Amino acid sequence: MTAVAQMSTLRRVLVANRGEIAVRIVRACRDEGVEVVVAVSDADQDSLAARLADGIVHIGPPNAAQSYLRVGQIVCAALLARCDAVHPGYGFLSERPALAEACAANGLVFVGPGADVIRRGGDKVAARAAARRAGVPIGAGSDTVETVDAALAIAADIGFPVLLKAAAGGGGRGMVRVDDPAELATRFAVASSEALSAFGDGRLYVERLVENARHVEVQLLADTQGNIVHLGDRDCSLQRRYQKVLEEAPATAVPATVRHRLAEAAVALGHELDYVGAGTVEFLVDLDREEFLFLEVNTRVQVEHPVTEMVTGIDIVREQLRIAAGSPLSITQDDVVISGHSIECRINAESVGSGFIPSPGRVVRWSPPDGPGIRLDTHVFSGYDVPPHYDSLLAKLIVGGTDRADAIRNLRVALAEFEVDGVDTTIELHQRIVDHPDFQADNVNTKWLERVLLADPAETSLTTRRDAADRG
Amino acid sequence: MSSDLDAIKAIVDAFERSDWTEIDVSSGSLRIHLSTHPQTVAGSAPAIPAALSTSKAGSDPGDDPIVTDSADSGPIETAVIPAGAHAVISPSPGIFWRAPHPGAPPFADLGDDVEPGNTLCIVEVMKLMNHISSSIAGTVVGVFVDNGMRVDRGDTLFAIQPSASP
Repeated sequence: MTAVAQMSTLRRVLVANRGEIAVRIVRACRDEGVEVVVAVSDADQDSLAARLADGIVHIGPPNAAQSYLRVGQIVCAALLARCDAVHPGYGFLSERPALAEACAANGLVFVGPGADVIRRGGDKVAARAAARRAGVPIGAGSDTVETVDAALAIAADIGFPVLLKAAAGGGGRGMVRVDDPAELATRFAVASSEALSAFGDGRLYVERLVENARHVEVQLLADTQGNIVHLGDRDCSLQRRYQKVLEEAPATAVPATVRHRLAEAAVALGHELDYVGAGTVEFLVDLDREEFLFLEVNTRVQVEHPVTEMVTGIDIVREQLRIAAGSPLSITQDDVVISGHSIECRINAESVGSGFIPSPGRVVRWSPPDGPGIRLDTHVFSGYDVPPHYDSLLAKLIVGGTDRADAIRNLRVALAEFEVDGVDTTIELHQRIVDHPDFQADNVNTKWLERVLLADPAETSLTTRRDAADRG
Repeated sequence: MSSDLDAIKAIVDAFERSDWTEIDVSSGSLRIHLSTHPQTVAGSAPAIPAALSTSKAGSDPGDDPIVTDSADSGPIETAVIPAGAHAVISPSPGIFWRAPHPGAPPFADLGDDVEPGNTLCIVEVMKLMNHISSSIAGTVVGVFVDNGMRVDRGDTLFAIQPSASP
């Protein structure tokens, strides 16, 4: 590590989030010697983050639209608690330029990039343009398409199937697979109006669908002095409905030469965007064509950041706080050494056997595994009432090993020891994943979980039953 | 405490420079409520900020008419299913929504005729929006849950009186 010449610090941070990431940020503030106040809805007054923090500010009813998603409430909560910074976590307002702007207008430090960078990185069409300028390969496709005819022409050029994507979408939302021209013609207007209602922006673009791909992403840290380092890559190919289920670092399935090019591309894009803070550049690695394509930039801390922390020994959230205070990075690229292998399982409150229907309610027993190489990021404790208002993430179980095989061995033991009563969880699903020979051989793609592991007849029939329940 | 006054002044300044219509935050014994809604102003004073109130902790925000969600805040009816009517139950715990988004008319109101497949409500559970539809043709004769309330699996949401057979 290089010595930090001039250490600026934040004084008091408002955490504008909840759940496990709020706990994570509270702990990072403690480690940095910074006071921390948590913004809480009525559903989170007695949360673990609230208990650990120096103070709390009430920001409204449980419904996130009336609390965690209101820029004014967050800014005024920070002013009321006399904070000098706001950490948005992930989700909620973390990638809304409006919060970054409102913080700046009221003398508050936003822990993340400025509104302009969020805008350029978050708009998928603008991000594709930036990637092109930085020399980063992007998927065959278009900029914004205005009409069905324009979309049809592009799709004919790149070949079906294609993805029709919302310019304002991201994180797996706002994408439609289209297999032929007739389907494109019927889906176009619907996709545009859905994008308008979901994101307030109906712009669409067309991209080639990569059937056999791995999702690989590169973690960046960038300071206000213009230094950008990468912390290596993560493989997040195990997904259900475009939502990540299990992530690992490093991305051992991808050849080292490709991984090196991914990291270089991510850093180049970071410079092109004048990036500041922690960020992630996501790619699809096309296994058939042996090429990679830029997917999107996430201008915030990522759910799966702990696997990178485990293999680098670098605390990403503490670095975020230092960067926000104006300090230079405490590390150079040469300081970043990847050691061992780490796997994260997202433990969700869901009934896997009932079509993954969420399972809120009281956790009567919470008995997680413990021991060397095991890390648990969670806000849950025995007796906690999991509210129905927010996402279903209960905990992230992060397990390390000297190599991938060792990490898998340790993870199997940890999952077997993890006992939860009161709510249904995805622990058993993770056990099925790590026991599967395809996973152990590192031979999966982004469709493997849905098409192979979850494709047995029992799963299919239960999904049908759930659809029937949806119809009342 | 002067630092509290500084914080209040900073919030009022921020509110005046913003396009926010309402702020309601509290910490310890201090609550700050600012609104552009004219009805919150004692008397007829217009403008921004329309109201600034501080109150002791423990006052229930639910008592505040501005905070309370919309018009559907009457007491919950007991779920008594009229003779011959069909009960629509919640398939999961969650939040009961009568309309697709705030301000929109309800999917189905008392007295409305519905067809099989017509959406009656949404039960939101952990960001999953489950549209609950009628399985029969009939008339809505009972609505048993208020908009935005928590429901449990098995709670009766609606009663539908089947249409007479043609």
